[in-house]
Amino acid sequence: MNKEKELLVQYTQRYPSLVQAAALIKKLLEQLLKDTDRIDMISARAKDPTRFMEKAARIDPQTNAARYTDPLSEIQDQVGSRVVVFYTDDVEPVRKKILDEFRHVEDRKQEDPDPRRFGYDSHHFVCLIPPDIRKKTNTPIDFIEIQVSTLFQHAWAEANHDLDYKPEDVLDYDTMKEIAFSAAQAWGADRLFSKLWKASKD
Amino acid sequence: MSNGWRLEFCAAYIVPPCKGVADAALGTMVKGSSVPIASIPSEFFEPLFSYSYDEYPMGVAFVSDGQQQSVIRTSIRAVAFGSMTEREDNVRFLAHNLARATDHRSPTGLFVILTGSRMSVSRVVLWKFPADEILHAEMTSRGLHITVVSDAFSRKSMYFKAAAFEGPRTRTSFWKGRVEDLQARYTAREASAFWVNSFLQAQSVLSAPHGTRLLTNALREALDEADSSNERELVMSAAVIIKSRAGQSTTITGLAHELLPTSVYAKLSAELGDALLRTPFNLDPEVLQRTLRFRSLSLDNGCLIRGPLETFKQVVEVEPIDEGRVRVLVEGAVESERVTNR
Repeated sequence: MNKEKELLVQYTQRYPSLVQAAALIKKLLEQLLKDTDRIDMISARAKDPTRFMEKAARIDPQTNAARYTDPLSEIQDQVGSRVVVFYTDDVEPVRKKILDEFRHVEDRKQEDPDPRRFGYDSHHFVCLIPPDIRKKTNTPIDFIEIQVSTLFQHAWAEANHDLDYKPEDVLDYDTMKEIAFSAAQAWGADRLFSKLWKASKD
Repeated sequence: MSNGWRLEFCAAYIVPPCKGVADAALGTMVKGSSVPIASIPSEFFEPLFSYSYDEYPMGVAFVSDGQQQSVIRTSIRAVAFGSMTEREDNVRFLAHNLARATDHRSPTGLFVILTGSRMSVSRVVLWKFPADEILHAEMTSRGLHITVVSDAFSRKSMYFKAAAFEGPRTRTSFWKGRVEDLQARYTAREASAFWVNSFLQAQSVLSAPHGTRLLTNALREALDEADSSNERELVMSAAVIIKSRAGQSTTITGLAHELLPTSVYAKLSAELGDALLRTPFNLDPEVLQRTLRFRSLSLDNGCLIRGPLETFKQVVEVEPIDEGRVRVLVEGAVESERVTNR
């Protein structure tokens, strides 16, 4: 059996436990955020085997070598979860609850460091899977990924994801501009609605 | 070696308490070196090294800087996977860090680190033994020489602290480990804060809110599934006592022995495993307040109605009659009826 096929077999074997773990993570987040205002959606999923294999095959452009030497332990979003909140100010209370509840290894705001560029924005966490969930599902993973985004960030990410651009695709200048423009509009809409929300409370 | 482990690297340092001592002085106060595997007392260390990882009572996770970095984890990984020079440099760093974390309440100790591998898994075990009680260490011109002092070696009769980390050689491994503090274990305390928090810069794998949530979810399930009113009463009483201990450190095992019906503990043990139930966490006041809510209604004639808040709202109806008096309607099937002297 070649390496790729072997990896797919191994991932497919663990996939049912990942589905179970995702369901328990969703339940936990629902319990955790039960009394938190303006949560639009809480979801969790196990990474589809096809998507997992695509990610495992990625090449690091800097070294031109495989990005993952051991994808089964190095890919940290085999179980991923997303919390969508209404406004930008609603992210922080959710962030605080996640950091209190989960032992995390990563906590970062995902945004383009260049203020002149627009793209995918969200808050991104890599957390250790709670030991009770690991035990109940017998899942071999150590990490889960949780993303917290606003409605507009989520809408932009979903639409962009649906267009299925792959890193190796060479997009023309206009398309890249249009993607950045739509991200900028989502960013602007977030700003406006946050201001309107605050104004309505004053 | 037994259990298929192959020992790869050993180092030991004599670590005096150096909390507050200037970093420049540590080099002369903390002495040690790598130790050839062939020269360590194998009958002493081999069983300790191959001791089952899951049997260490407390799961810990390194505290991250938020960008997947932890200085201590990086050092431990370097001891596991680095070159000889990297291993020696990092053991020295760990020994200095242990000395810095140790105050004068702890005596001088012998810090030993041993690494090994079995198939694709590497293991690193760190110990701090009370110096000269079990092991004697002497600095010679060829490095540190270790001999066993106590002939009547019994793992459980000794006081030492240990931490074990294991995993494959990947960038994501070694975030979690397990620790043991035999001195604390038999006095029913959690592992010394200086060993876990200050030296390892780690924390219990159970956060206060999550540990408390596990406990309160179990209590709520136990209430729903209680076979008798006696059992329900026991669980509710346990809940009230647990709420009064908000902020305290505990383990589910400890609470179970003291307060919970055997059936609740047996169910939790089957679901979560004993190792997790022995893992300490602090009882989180907010989670206790939010998840263990009971409501009671007492009347001036001595009658009392009590139940979980959600159920209470659904089945108890208070109907005002006249002059501050009420009629209370409670819906449900009578499970038991008792006459008591109180």
